[in-house]
Amino acid sequence: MPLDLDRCIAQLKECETLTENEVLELCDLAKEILVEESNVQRVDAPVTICGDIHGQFYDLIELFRVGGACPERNYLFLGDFVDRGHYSVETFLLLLALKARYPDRITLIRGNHESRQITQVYGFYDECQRKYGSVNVWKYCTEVFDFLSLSAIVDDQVFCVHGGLSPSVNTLDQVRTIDRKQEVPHDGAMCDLMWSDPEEISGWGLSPRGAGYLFGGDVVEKFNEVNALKLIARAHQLVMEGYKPLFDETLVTVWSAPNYCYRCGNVAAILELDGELARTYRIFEAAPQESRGVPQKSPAPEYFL
Amino acid sequence: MELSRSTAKAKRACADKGYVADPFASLLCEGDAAGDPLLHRGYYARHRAVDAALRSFVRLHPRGQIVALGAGLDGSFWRLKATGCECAYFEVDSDLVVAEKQRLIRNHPILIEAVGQYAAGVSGAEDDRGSYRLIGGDLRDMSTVASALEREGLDATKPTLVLCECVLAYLDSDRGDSVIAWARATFVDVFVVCYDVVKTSKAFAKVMLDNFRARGAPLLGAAESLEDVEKRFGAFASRNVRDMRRVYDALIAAAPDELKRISTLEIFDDPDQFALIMSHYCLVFAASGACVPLVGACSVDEHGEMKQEAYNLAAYAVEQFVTEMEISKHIKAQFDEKYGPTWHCIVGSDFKLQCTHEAKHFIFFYHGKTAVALYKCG
Repeated sequence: MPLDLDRCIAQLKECETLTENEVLELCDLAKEILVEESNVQRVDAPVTICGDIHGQFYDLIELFRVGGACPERNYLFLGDFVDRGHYSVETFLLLLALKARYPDRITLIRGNHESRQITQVYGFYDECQRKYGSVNVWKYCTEVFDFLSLSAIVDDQVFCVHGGLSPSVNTLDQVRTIDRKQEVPHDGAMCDLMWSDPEEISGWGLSPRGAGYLFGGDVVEKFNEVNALKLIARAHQLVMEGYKPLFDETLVTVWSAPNYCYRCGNVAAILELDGELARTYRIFEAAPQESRGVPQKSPAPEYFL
Repeated sequence: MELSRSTAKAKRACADKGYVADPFASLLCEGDAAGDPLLHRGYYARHRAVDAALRSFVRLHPRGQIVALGAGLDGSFWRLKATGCECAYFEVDSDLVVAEKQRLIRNHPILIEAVGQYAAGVSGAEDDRGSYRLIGGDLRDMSTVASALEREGLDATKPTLVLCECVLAYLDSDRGDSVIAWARATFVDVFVVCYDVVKTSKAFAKVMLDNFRARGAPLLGAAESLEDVEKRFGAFASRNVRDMRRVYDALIAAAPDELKRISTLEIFDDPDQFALIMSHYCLVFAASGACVPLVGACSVDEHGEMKQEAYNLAAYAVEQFVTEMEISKHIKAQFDEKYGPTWHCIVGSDFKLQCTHEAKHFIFFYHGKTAVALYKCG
């Protein structure tokens, strides 16, 4: 019997995980869809663009409450679904189940945390082991990561990517030629797309993250001109106000994890592009405690003590 | 107690990961130490700053004493002792933490050896008194703690370093002020090193206070701003207050080799959150009497390391050598070797100086009554 995706979605929306076999089936289904997608996946407006989620499941539910349900609304998620939050498994599987059920109403692109190496440091690996007693689910999910697209373009005018630009990429066609079906490399175009950050500099700079680059307004101006773009929408950086336009609004950072790591006290935002690509930012706060179901047994957020 | 264990774990993780060389961290912590690279870097910056302050103090006042309030399971005493430090070292924490620390000490001969059987809580070992005292007490009642310190041999006439790492924030502001007032009033020559919470941004601080309250350790006296912190220490002759973001930038981010070294230790993907958290902690140096030069010596700026080195060398040279000539020769030679030629060093109690030097390569300071000018040219 094929996997009942509607039942999976309903279950995941209650923050209940799937069985290991169901995860395997779901991942296989998703891979069949994702493998067909371009490295620069075409998306039609209107669409709602969302930044990092980082396993903050209840805040994702809040995001859908604020932004409207999928598939009624068309969604584009810019990656970093997993790590750091307490519910990476439920978060990623819900998004993946929605993708499998409504492939044309939700687009998922890859963030730097959709990586075998990073998830072993920042929590997703441990969470899978804790919730399933084995790392099989982590293996299935990280295989899906390799199929995720690297970027998207909305109505040929808004380039969407997790991190930013790369000195080895001048044109979108250069992104299209990357062989993406691999673990995120430590350098090169694919790595930079997921790791770079904009900065008030001119040209390129070294990133404090140790991967990717810093890129300035002049780089964005040239890239947008060469590729006939109006806007670059990206995520990857915590913004206390939820979103931050830069360089005369030719680039925007969208951050969708409110009270990031249950510690930062920031608000989150999503960016709605209407049919004419007009921009509306919707701000939201962390889901209220009472909507978070059973009291968390998860460890308290850490500080310096 | 839970906080002390967590801190010990974080310090151990810092050592295990290779950020700091601390052979004692693993002895004072049971169980695995994992954690977030962001926390490791933060603890590392704090360790670097506090450790440098301790060492500078010991160098300037080798027969001084150190009082660590709320010391928890910290291993600074053993690290200093291993470098030949002979300062008397007093630690104060709750009875529970003290009992746990004594238990850990007794588990490891290497720890017992340094503190002596008495401090390790071995009964009937009154004679084996080393330079280390572990005192149970409640810092909310500073006068009782002060009496206990006195009974254990604290000497108000000696130059004293008072260390408070994450102490004041847990005390309500009146009680915190009592601790500060005690340090100021008890000693003539005193150097306070304080690492604490500061509510730099409202949004972050609100969540932080909620989270600590939920953990059963409310931050009753977290300072509102760096200016507030500075005011609290207003009775000291000299003070320096910096948020830890600045300390990290000056101490580590500005040292390319060191930044490169720690970048290889583990993946670090959180510069934004790191900066945010670090800006909610601060480092205070406050001093009076003969300890005043330490404030300048330990304060970090973009040339923090070099400055620190100069102060340390000067302190050492003044102790070791008799003539001003010998002192200046020593400092010059060390700087030429470490930072490249050509350095010039003038030492004396009465001189005027006009010189040409490279930008940002000039320093002038007093060590006691001896003035030191050091600059690079040629």
